[in-house]
Amino acid sequence: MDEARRRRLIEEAARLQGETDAIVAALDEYLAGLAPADRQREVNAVWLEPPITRAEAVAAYPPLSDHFDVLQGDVLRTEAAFVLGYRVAGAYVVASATCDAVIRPRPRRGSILLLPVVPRTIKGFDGKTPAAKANAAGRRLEQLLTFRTTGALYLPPLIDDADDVVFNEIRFNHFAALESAQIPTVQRVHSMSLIGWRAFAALLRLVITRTGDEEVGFRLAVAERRATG
Amino acid sequence: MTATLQTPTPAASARAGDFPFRERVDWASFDELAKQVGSAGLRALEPGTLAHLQVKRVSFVVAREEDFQQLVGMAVEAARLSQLVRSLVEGIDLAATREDPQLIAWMRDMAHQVTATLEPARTSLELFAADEDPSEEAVEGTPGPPGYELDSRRIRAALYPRG
Repeated sequence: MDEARRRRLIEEAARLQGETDAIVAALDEYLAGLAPADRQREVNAVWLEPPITRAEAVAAYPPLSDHFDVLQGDVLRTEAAFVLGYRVAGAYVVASATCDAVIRPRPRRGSILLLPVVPRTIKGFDGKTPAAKANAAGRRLEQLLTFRTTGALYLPPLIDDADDVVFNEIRFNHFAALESAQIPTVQRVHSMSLIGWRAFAALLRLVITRTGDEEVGFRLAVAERRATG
Repeated sequence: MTATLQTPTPAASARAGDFPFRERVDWASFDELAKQVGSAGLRALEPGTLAHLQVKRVSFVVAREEDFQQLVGMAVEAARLSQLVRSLVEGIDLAATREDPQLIAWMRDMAHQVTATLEPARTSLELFAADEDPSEEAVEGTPGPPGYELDSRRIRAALYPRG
């Protein structure tokens, strides 16, 4: 992929704020015409970065005021997160807004929201033969890399993943909580790039605060009906 | 590296719920760490080992991240357990003053919660891997598109060329 096109996608990601469809359309356009392996390679290349430190951020962008320790979209590992009352060790992505994860001079929130990261290996897919498992993995990659599901978002293998991990998924069907007091203890593995973060935030917004036309319609109709008795 | 103060337990890696540290290493100065140990020595720091680094009057500890995370998890669990036990003691004190079946039932629930808290942490892999995204089932049976790179070694080599 040429650098000029990648630069245009980054500029587009900076411009598009909460417009989920527009972000997916921009990604689709960017990846259009690429063979599957090239699409996968390109997303792998633009999705994750090493953790962005505050020192690095201030050096590059002096107006920065918040004293952050983790960023929204950071991939981290912790044994201090809870899911439905159970302490569950593993990899997660920070779903709370960066400004809500700030803990200095004092925590802005009592806890932050995390989404689980599930590593995928070929042997972990359903199938009686290695070929059938590989076929299922290919189907899942196609689905994730064309952004056709709101249940999960693609992530490349993490730098410290086991050798057989082919890709990861951020799952949107379970939520974990981490007390803000534990934020200094987490292991930051990656930050998301601007492109990855925009795509993640867009899907998160869609999943959590979706306000569909049908729901607008019936709420309005019920309110009118109640008002007229 | 100077001293190992504890006899290491068998090589099996620590299970969730076990105390993570079994061995100790001491570095008397940063120079000793840099010259004698270096980055290769740091990488050789085995899981389960806690290294103590003395820099003048200040002492630091160096550990594998996974061991540190396990320790944090245990500390979080201990804080929660301590809170539950305090509530349980309050309940026992109250129960001592009056015979109240509701209070006894509440204390029994509380005791069950304490027991549950003592269970080791599960991993997100155990909890979420089997819980598939429903949309994954929707495409089952359709032929998979060829051409995706499924060799994890080649993917890693492209993503992390320096290992």
